[in-house]
Amino acid sequence: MKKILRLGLPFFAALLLLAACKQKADFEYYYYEPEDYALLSQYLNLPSKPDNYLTKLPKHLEAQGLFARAVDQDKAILGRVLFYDKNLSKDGKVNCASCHRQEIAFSDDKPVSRGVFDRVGTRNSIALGSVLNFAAYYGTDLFGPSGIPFFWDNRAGTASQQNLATMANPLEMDMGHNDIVNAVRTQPYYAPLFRMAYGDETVTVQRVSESIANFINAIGSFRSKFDREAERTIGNDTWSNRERLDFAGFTAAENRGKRIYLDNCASCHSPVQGRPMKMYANNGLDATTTDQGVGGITKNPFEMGMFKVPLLRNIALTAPYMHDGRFATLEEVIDHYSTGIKAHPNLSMELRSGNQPRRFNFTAQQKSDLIAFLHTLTDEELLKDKRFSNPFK
Amino acid sequence: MSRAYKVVLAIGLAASLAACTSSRFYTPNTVNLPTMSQKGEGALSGATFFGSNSGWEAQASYSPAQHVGLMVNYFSLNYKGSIAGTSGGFFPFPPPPQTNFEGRMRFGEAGLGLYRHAGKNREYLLSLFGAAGQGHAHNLYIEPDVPLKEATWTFWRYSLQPGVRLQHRRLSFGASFRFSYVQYTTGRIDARIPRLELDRVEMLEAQSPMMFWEVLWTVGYHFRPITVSLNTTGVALGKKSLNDLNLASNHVSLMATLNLHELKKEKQSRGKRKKK
Ligand code: HEC
Ligand code: HEC
Repeated sequence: MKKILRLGLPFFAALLLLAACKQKADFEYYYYEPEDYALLSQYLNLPSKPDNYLTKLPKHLEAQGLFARAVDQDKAILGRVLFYDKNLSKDGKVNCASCHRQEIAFSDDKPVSRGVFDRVGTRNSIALGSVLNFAAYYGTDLFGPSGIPFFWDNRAGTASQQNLATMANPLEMDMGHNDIVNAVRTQPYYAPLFRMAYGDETVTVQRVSESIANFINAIGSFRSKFDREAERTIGNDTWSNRERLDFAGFTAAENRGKRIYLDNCASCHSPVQGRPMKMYANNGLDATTTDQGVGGITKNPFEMGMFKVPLLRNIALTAPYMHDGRFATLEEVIDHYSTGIKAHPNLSMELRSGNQPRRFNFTAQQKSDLIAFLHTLTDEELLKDKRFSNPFK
Repeated sequence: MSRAYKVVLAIGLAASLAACTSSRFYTPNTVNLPTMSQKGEGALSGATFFGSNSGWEAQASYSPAQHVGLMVNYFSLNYKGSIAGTSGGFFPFPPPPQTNFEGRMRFGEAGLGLYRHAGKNREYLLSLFGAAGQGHAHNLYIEPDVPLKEATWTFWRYSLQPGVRLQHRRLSFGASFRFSYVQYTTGRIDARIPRLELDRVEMLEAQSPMMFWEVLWTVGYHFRPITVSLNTTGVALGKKSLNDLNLASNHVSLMATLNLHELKKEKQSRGKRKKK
């Protein structure tokens, strides 16, 4: 027995020692060719390992059939560069981010956006960060033109259609298809990026717009305080009105505000900030049609003056409000719903009582509760998310 | 049909029924549970397994001194399958794109240990072995129309395995708990493999080194000098993050063991018989 111990013990001790020298794994990941990466690094801050553009939505959103679909990471990386590239505008001063700024949830702080040569647009920029996830929300990869459409007047069916329209818009970037292709071709950093995304360096307008669409499709807001609490309290169970339960992590004011929201606003804007309950509506901004909105596209008289029902994610950051940016603050918006709704002929049912526009007549307390609730929809992580930031040096 | 045939048939059937889930990140080799009972004894074993995972194992053990044993094990595993590139994909949405993968894992280890008999008729064999070994995995990800993507990684495993074996006439039963400390060291990974897979590889890297138990069950039937056995070795994991990696794999092997000392005896007795 002694012999056993003499032989065995040192061996097991040595084994333990070997195992004890804890060493971290050191894996090497390769993506770009070294010379490509050197070239890219002259102009861009791109990580050597590709960013992950796949999204997993929290349970309370997935339970509604919303989930982020495949985004091609190689195209999204190219799309990110295009999104921030000022060479894609006529005067070389405007990029997508000029009117969709990350720090304010990809919105613009001007009532109506300014494009190339400071030309003034007609509508307020839509916050790209107002939806839980572009691909999940619009589903344009799937439904094509019959998905939830883009723009205030729902005129674009897919993200590619949308961004081509934007680039071509003389009030925005004012670039025809040939201008875009030429602008992209002349920048040295695009060749490697196109090779990663498409296998060759050929620049076409379809590839440009598809890549931008992949990047936009990855943008999403689902990490707000509201989402953290909703995932905890509602989870998978979206059928038994669990959103009406008080959220443990909310303040009393936020919970009161949530109840007011669910009673008066959720029938259009969605109870869990998933999909809006209505695609478009008139919310009584004016008594007569000033901007035809959806009706201008469909020519349907019953749709005149109707606009996209926006999701309210990050709403505290995206002032000014409404399609024309007429309200500078959330207080003004709430005042509008409280006492200012006008009797437009197409005013939505939810905002009528009989033939008269509805008066919510919120008290001061109710207004501040509602605003406290709207602030819980802010997703700080999206604002700092490196994957969506400006890659240019 | 002789009894021996029935037993072999039963073992074969069990082997084909046994669910064998292997993981491309870590699959345990069959625990080498010694059979030697005194100095000078040794055994050679070979095992094979089938299905979407196939391969073979070779094991050897020898006792150079009373109560002391040595062992060497080699494990070669080929696997293939397909993985989803992204999550989601329930009705009415189209299923996420699938990528096929194919890979192989090679693992070799050497160990040293102690054994002794117990029980009234010395029917129990208790053993405690320690071992160290290295594994290497090579994976290919295959999608139509694009170049193959590769991922390789290497790991070390240090283990300690107390075990017990019970011999009852021609049948033997054994069990062992192998405490394993697995340390991934280097890897080279094409970052364009499907994103979910890349996430898993990153998780593997972050989780390493990891510790877990592996449990062996074995049933054998003995016809001198060979023992045929059915073995299952499974990883018993506690940590959820490791479960996500599907490391909780279960490996079933059908093994034939040649007991060298019995072979010698057999020859001797045959020789004796001839002389007579
Ligand atoms: C000059 C300012 C400006 C620039 C530059 C600009 N946008 Fe916009 N964007 C807007 C405005 C204004 C709207 C709303 C227009 C409307 O609805 O009529 C909008 C709407 C959108 C929408 C629709 C969002 C939704 O939820 O319906 C998307 C997507 C979008 N822009 C992406 C882009 C991309 C990609 C680029 C760069 C190629 C870009 N924008 C450049 C001002 C701009
Ligand atoms: C009839 C459906 C409906 C109801 C009910 C409704 N809204 Fe709206 N809301 C809209 C529409 C449509 C718009 C866009 C109108 C436009 O720009 O012309 C809008 C716009 C907004 C905006 C501005 C969004 C932006 O990005 O500029 C805010 C904030 C808002 N609503 C808050 C509320 C609140 C708070 C309530 C409840 C008191 C509420 N809404 C009730 C339909 C509705």
